Amino acid sequence: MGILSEGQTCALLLFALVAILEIYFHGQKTARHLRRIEGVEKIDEAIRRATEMGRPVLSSTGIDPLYSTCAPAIIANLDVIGHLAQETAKLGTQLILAIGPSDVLPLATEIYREGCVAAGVPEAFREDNVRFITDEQWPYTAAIFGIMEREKPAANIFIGRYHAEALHFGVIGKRTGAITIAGNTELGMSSFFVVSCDYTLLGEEVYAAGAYLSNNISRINAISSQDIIKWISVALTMIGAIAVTMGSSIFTNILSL
Amino acid sequence: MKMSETLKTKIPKLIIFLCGVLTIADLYLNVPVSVHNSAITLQKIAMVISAFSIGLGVASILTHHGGAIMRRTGGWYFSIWLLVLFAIFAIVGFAYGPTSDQYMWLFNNIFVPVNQTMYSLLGVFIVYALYRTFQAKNIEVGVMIVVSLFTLIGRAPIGGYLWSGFPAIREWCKILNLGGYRAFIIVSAIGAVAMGIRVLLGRETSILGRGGE
Amino acid sequence: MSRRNILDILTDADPRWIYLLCLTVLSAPLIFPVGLPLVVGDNARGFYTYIESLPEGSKVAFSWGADSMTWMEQGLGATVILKHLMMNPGIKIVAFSNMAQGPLYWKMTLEKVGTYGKEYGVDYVYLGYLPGKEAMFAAVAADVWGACGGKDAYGKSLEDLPLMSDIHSANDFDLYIHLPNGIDPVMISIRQWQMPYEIPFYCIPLGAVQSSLVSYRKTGQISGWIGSAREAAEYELLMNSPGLALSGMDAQSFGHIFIIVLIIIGNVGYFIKKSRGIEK
Repeated sequence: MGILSEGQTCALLLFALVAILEIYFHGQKTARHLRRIEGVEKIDEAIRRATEMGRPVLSSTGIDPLYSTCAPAIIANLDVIGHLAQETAKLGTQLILAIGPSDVLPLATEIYREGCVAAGVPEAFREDNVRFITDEQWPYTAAIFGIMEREKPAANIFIGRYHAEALHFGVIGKRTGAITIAGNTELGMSSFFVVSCDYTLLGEEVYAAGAYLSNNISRINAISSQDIIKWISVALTMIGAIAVTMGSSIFTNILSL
Repeated sequence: MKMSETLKTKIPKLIIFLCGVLTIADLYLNVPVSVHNSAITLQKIAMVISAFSIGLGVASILTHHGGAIMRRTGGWYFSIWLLVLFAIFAIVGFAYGPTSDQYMWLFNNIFVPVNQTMYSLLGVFIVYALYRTFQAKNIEVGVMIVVSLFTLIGRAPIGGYLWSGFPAIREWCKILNLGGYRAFIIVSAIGAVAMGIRVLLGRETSILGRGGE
Repeated sequence: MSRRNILDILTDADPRWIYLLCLTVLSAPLIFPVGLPLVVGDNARGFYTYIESLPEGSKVAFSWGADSMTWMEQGLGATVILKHLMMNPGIKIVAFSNMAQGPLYWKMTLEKVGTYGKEYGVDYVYLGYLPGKEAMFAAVAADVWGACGGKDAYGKSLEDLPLMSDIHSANDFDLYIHLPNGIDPVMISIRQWQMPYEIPFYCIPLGAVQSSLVSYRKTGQISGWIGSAREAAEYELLMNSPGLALSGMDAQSFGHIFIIVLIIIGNVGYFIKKSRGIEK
C-alpha cells in the first residue's frame, strides 16, 4: 500500500478532522454553551466547605505514568489541580497532592506553585504538601488511606484515571466525613466511584473538567468541537448498523481501510 | 526575559510538537525504517527519563517523612517505620540484588501479604457500598438493581445450577452493557485525541507544569 | 441519643457488622465445604477446547505478566492454563514477563504444576523479565531474539536452545496467551500482537475487567479468556484437576447470595421508610 499504513486511513481522517476543528474553534471569540456538569460545579463548593471546616483538600493523580496511554487523563487531572491550587490559595486552605507516578511529581509541584502565584498568594505554596507515594496500586491506596484517616480532608477530588482503588477512596472518604468528587476515564472502574462518591464525572467529562473550570474561551470551544465528532460517530454507527443488518458489508470495509 | 520565555515555553512546545508528529507519522504512515526506529528510540528515551524521576520521588519521601519525625506531627512513628523498611529493602536490594533469595524473602513475607490484604478489602468494601447505595430511589437505580441482581446470581456458581436462565439473562445484560460501554469508549477516545492534539499544538500547558494557556 | 429502630438497622447498619457478617459468610464454606455444583461456561470450555485441539508441535507464546497485586485471582487461571499446556506433550511454550515479579511467579508456578517430562530448551523456554511496556511487546513480536538480547532468563544463549531456532517473531507462534495485570496490557497485546500478526489471542484477565473486554471479544480481537476465579474453577473441572479455584466456589456462591440478600434488605427498609414518610 502507499503512504498510509494499512487499516489506519479512517483513524487518520478522524485525527485530522479533530485537529481541523480544534484549530477552527480556537479562533472563535465567544464561548459556546457547555451543559452543566454537576460534579465539576461542586468542586468550588467542596473547597469552600473545606475552608469553613478548617480541613485540607486532598487530590491525587492515580498510579499511571505520563508515558502510558493514560497521559490525556493525567493532563486533564493536572488542569483540575491547577484550579484547585488557585482556589485553595485564595481561601487559605491547605491542598494536599498525593502523587503516584514519579514522572508526574515535578509537573504537579510546578502547577501547584504556579496556581499559588496566579492567586496572588505565593507563600501558600508548601512543597511538603506535594507528596510522592508510589506507582504500586495497593501501597498507593494504603498511603491515601493514611492521609485521609490522619489529616481528615474535608474534600477529596479524584479526577483522572483510577483502577480498583477507586472504591477504597470513596468508602474511606465517606467514613471520614469528606465530600468526594471523582471522575474516571477507566470505564470499567467508574462504577466504583458511582457507588461510593458524592459526585462522579464519567468518560469525557473528565477531559472537559479542566476547560470547564478554566473559563477559557478557546478551551471551552475545543470541548464543543468534540461534540461534532460525536454526532458524526452517531451517524456512522446508525448507518453502519442498518447496513450490516441489511447484509451489506460495504460500510465495514470502508471503515477498515 | 524574552529568552526565559522562549526557554520555558516555546522550545518545550516545539520539542513536544516534533516528537508528537514523529510518533504519529510512525503510526499512521508507511515511513522509512530510520523514522520508525527514531520513533521507537523516542519511546525508550521517555521511559529512561521517567526512571530518573524516581530519584525525585525518593527525595520527596525522605523529606516529607523526615520532616514529620522531626516535627513530631500526627502519626510520626509510622514515618519512622516507613523509613526503616525503606532502608532495609534498599540495603538488601543493593547488597544482594533484587532477585536474590534474601530480597525475595522480604518481598514474599512483607510486601505480598500486605498487598493482598489491601486487595482483599475490595470485596468487603463492595459489599458495604452496594448495601448502602443500591436503594431504588428512582427508576434508573431500580433498573440497575434488577440487572445487578441477575448479574450476581448468574455469576454465582450456584446460579447456573438453580436455573439455566440466570446465566443466560446475565449474558443478555452484557449486551445492554456493551452498547453503553462502546459509546463511552468512543467519546473517551475522542476526548483523549482532542487532548493530545491540544498538547501537540501547545495549547495544554499543564504538560509543561504551567497552570494556564 | 435516639434509639435505633429496626428500620435504621435495615437501611443504615454499622459497617463493622456488615464486615463481620461478610467475613463469616465467606469463611464458613472454606472451613466447612458444602460442595455446591458448578456449571461449566462457554469461556472455560472454549479455551480448553482450543488448547486441546492444538496440533502436535504447536508453539505457544505466553506473556506471563504476573503481579503480586492480582496474583490471588489471576494466579488460579494462570496455574491451571500452564498446567494444561505442560500436560500436553505436543505443545511448545515460550514465555516472557513484562512485570518485574513475573520471574518469581513463573518459578513458583512451574514448581507447583510440574513439567510433565517437558525438557527446558526443547519444549519450553522462559525469556525472563523484559522491561518496556508497549515498546517491549512490539519488539518481542517483531524480533524475539533481539528483544531479549539473545539470552533467556538464566543467561543461556538462545542459540543453545533448540526450540528457539524456529522462533523469531510472532509469525512463528500458533497461539498467544497473555496474563495481564489490568486492562492496558490487553490493549497493548491487541495492538502489538493480535492485529499486526493475526495470531489467536487468549487472555487470563481479572474478573473486574472482563466487562471492558467484551467489545474486543465480539470483534474477534480476543478469541477467548478465563477471567476470575470462577472460570479458573470451571477449567479445573474440565481438566478433572480440582485445585484452589474450585475450593473457593462455595464461598463465592455464599458471598453472592449474601450481597443479594443485603441489597433486598436495604431496599425493603428503604421502601418501608418511604411509605411512612420518613424517607423522601
